[in-house]
Formats: sequence, structure tokens, C-alpha cells
Amino acid sequence: MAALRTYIIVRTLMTIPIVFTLLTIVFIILRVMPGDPITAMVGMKAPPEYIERLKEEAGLNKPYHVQYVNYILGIIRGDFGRSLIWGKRPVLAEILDHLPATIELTIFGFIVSIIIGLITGTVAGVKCYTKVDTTLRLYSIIAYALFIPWLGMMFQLIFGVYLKILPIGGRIDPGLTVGWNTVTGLYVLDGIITGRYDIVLNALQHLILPSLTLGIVLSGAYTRLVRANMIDVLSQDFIRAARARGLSELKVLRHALKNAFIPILTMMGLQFAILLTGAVLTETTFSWPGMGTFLLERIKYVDYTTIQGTIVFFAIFVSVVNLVVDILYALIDPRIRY
Amino acid sequence: MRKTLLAIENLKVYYHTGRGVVRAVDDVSLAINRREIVGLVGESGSGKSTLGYAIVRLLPPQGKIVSGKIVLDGKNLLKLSLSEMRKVRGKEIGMVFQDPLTSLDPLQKVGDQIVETILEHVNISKKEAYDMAAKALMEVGLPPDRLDSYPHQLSGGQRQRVMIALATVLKPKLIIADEPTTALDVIVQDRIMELLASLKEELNTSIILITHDISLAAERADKIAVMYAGHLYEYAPSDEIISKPLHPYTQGLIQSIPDVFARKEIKEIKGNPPDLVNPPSGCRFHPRCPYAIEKCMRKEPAMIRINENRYVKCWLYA
Repeated sequence: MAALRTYIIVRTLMTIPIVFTLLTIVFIILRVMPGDPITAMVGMKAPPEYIERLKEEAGLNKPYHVQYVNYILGIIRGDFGRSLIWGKRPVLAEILDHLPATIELTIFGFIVSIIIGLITGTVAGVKCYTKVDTTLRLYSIIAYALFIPWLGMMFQLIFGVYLKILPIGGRIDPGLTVGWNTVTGLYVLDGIITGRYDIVLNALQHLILPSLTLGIVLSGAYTRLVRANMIDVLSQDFIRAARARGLSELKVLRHALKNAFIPILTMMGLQFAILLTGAVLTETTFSWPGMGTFLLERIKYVDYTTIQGTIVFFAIFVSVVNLVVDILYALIDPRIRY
Repeated sequence: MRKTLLAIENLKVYYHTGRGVVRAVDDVSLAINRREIVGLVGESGSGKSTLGYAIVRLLPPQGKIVSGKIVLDGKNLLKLSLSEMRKVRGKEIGMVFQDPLTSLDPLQKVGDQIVETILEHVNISKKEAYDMAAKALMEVGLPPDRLDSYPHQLSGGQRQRVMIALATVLKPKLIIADEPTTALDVIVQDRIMELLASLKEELNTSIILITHDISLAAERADKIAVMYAGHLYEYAPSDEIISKPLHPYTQGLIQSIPDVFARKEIKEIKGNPPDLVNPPSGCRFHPRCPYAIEKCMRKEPAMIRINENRYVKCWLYA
């Protein structure tokens, strides 16, 4: 266990230079991009004094090294800058407004994809080169190739328009949240915490179609990955040895799944991080007020500081997700601890 | 109690491959007595491992037992249902594999793997199973605190000891050891063989020692069965087979054992083993046999009984 603790501490400390490097890269890229963001935002015809004022507000008129120090110090303080448009709110506050919606959708979409992927992949792997396997492989290709807005619209059409059993967009019926204070911003969780089970039910109803859409499309890749890993693991000596010890097929499968899981975990980590930056297509299809919708809107307005702040936020976020994945590896695989 | 523990009768195991049917084990009969170590010797592809895995019915998916009988202690294993067969594996027949690193689950502590095996077969508490596992480790010469080790934390020899503990913890009637020392260095090899032999005495089991090394078999086994191209060609007590090999193939095998001290020239057996999709007619060894006669090409020799313990499949002795 001491080895595991050392590993976790060392791995956590390693995250600091990684994040620092990421921040620096983001800073440089945004500075070497051609054009001046303020001019791009307000247009060429804006009076020069106005542009200058905006630049000063955003701190863009200072020399690069000063900008860099301010930028790093700001991030350490949790200050990601202020939006350039509308209320000029702090970028972090804007992100935190939209993040819970994305996290909630991501978690549910993720669960759907993992469940479908693990089951279909395991079955295909165990029954490899049979008709069942061929069918499941066909499923995985189709699922992978599906266009999210199309699948989303089909679901909306069938379950929302024809059958009228599920809502076709949004996170919740607006009337329900009047006078209700959220705790985490995740409606299902908050509903349970505050005992508002009507909200839990309503939020879940809204979640079904988007998470199915997202989950099905993502599951295709998992099916393939799980299948390939299962075939590989099932052909290994220790599986035959486990059978030779008289273990039941279910127990043999447990040995196999645990061993097949490590590469799958890698992909889960990567995909979770990508998903959080906004399952843009799913969010726009279902008018989901999350990061995808938010970022798309701000890119349209060239809200420079918000875009930079969001990139930085996610750079940190992805590093943390990777940290968590690496720690999970070590928990599963004793060979990784040192 | 019967003298014979395991009787294999006219066993045929075929692999259905894309190139055709590979007759890996073709009409092999073999009887193994209680408390006996039988060395199953042959080159790669002779069918010795296939025979070993057929006994526990753990052939790869394309391998099929076509006909024959495998009778363990009066029970035909080929007639058992899958769940009945599972009760035989690990409990009545223990297996030791060639590469102990890949044969242990890398993600599970060795103690848990032993306990898992015990609990699958015996209805006792987890605590009792752990005690049993600790005892099994001591039996194979490992300290019981190794229960908490992961396979990668053990040396090759230690891992093989764990494999042997796994195979013997439930005191099986038969141990099948498939090249148990091939992946180990020479000194460890000897210790592992020593351990297997002493466990045999203690547990009153029989051992099938599958190996390509006839000198190893000669040293440790009571009897040696020589396989070639899916057929069993000679079966005899070890000392007799070494001092007076009957079959030309066995003779060739013995002549090809290198001897560090005698500095004698090693005689190899000319040619290569045949393709089992399309084996030679008659005796499968005839294309490589220095004594082959015309009849050898035409007709497969029968198993000839020389005396109570000696059998040879060769026209020279008919």
C-alpha cells in the first residue's frame, strides 16, 4: 500500500508541470494567431479609442511578458478573466453556469455507452467469429458512423412527436425550478438532495433522449475495443489455466474482463474529457444549455477572453481526468505501482 | 482399488483448420497406474500436449475429440457434462503449465487465486481456505506471506511453485504437467522436478509429465510414452527405454541427447516431422526411418506387446 501512496503523490505532483506547460502553450497560440481579437470582435469600423479601451480592459495593451505573468497569477487565484460582451461577467462564473448541464449529460451518456459497449463487446468477444459477433460488429460500425443530429432528431420524432412520451429538448420543465435552489447544478442529484422527486423524475425524462443519442454513438467504439481486448485476453494462458482449475465460466469471464479493462479505461478517460468540452452536436440538437452550446455562441461573438478562459479551464480539467485515470490504473493493475 | 488410474482408449483428437483436418492425436491408447510418473515425450507437433489437454477437455476451439474414451478412476471423462467436468478440473486433475508468468492472473494476488480455486470445489469458509492456501504454499517451499504477492513480484521458480501449489492444493489424483520446467533455468528446473516428485509421494498422485526432453523424463518418470506425429510409438519403463530403446524413433531421440562429458557426436534424426493434414501412408515415421521396409509404407503397424510393461508400434517387432 505504501507503494500505491507514493505513486499517487508522485503522479499528482507531476500534474503541476503538465498544467503549467499547457497554460503556456495556450497563451502562445492565442498570441501568435493573426489579427487582433478586439478588432475582430467589434469590427473594423469601430472608433480606434473604443478599441483601445477594450484592449486595456482585457489587458491586451501590455507587453507580452507582463500579460503572461498576469495571466498565470490570475489562474492561480482562480481568475480566468472577464467576458468581453454583455454583462462582462467573470469567465469562471460563466463556465460554472453551464458546466453542470454538460457534466450531467456526459455522465448519463457515458453510462449508456459503457453499458452497451461492455455488454456487446464482451458477448462479441466471447462468441467471436459467430453470427452473433458479426451482428454486433455491424452494430458497432453503424453506431459509430451515425450522425448525432440525425439520430437525435429521429428520437425526437418518434418519442416526442409521434408517441408524445418524452420531451424533445431542454433540461427541465421551466415551471418546476421556480423558487428552487440548486446545490451542485446537477438537477438529478440536487432533486434527490432537496427531496424534490418531481424534479428528479422530470430531469431524468429530459435526459433520456440526449443520453441515448450520445451513448449509442459512443458505444460503437467501445464495442470494438472491448471485443478486441476480450479476444486477446481470452486466448491468454491464464484463462486456460483458470479453466483448468475448474473455475466456472462466469468467474473465468471476470478474470478476463478485469484484464481487458485497462486499455478500455484509457479510452474512457480520453472520451470523458472530450465529452466535457461539450458534446456540441448533442447539446445543440436538444437545446441543452451546456458548455457546447455556450462555447459555440461565444465563438460566434469572438468573445476572446471567454474562449481563452474556457480553453484553460478544460486544459486543467483534462489533466485532472488523466490524473484520475492513472490512479485508477494503479488501483486495478499492481504492476503499475512503483 | 483399481491399479489403473487413467485409461485412454483409442483416442482421436482432430483440429479442423482452414487447410484441412489435422490429426493431432490419432488412435492413442495409454494406461497410467496409480502413483506413477509417466513421461509423455515427443517433438513439437507430436500431439503430446494435445493429448494432455484432451484429458481435461480444454482443447482450443478448433480441436475436437472425435472418438475414444478417457477413463479416470472408472469414470469416462468424455461422457461428463460440462459442469461435471469442471468438478474434475482442479479437484481430481491438477494442471501445471509451461510458463508460470502467463498462467497466473497478473492482477490478482496469488493467495486469492489459490483461495478462489479451493472455494470453487470445497464448501468451507474463506478463513479456512486461506489457511489451506498457506499450507499449500509451505508444501511447495514458499513462505506463507507470499500469499499477498502478485505474480510479477515472484521469480520464475517461485511462480512455478505457486502453479504447483494451485495444482496440488486439492490433492488431485492426477497432475498433468505440460513442460513444467521449460521456461526455467537449469538449477531451478531440477528443484521443480524434485518438488513434483516429492509431492507425488506425499499425495499419492500420478503425474503425466509432458516434455520434449527425453533425458528429463528418463530421470524422473517411471514410464515413458513416446509420441510421434499423433501416434504413440513406444511405451515402456524409463530404464528399459533408455537402455534398450526398441522403436527406431526412440533410438534416434536417445542418440540425439547431448552429453557434456562423453563428447560423443550427436546423431540427429534426419528429415522433419510430417504434415498432419496429409500424413504419410503406413507408419508415419517411415520416411525418416533408417530401417524402413516396404511394408512400413503400406500398412500402419499395430501396437505390439513385448511384455507386460512394454509396447512398441513397429513392424520390426511383429
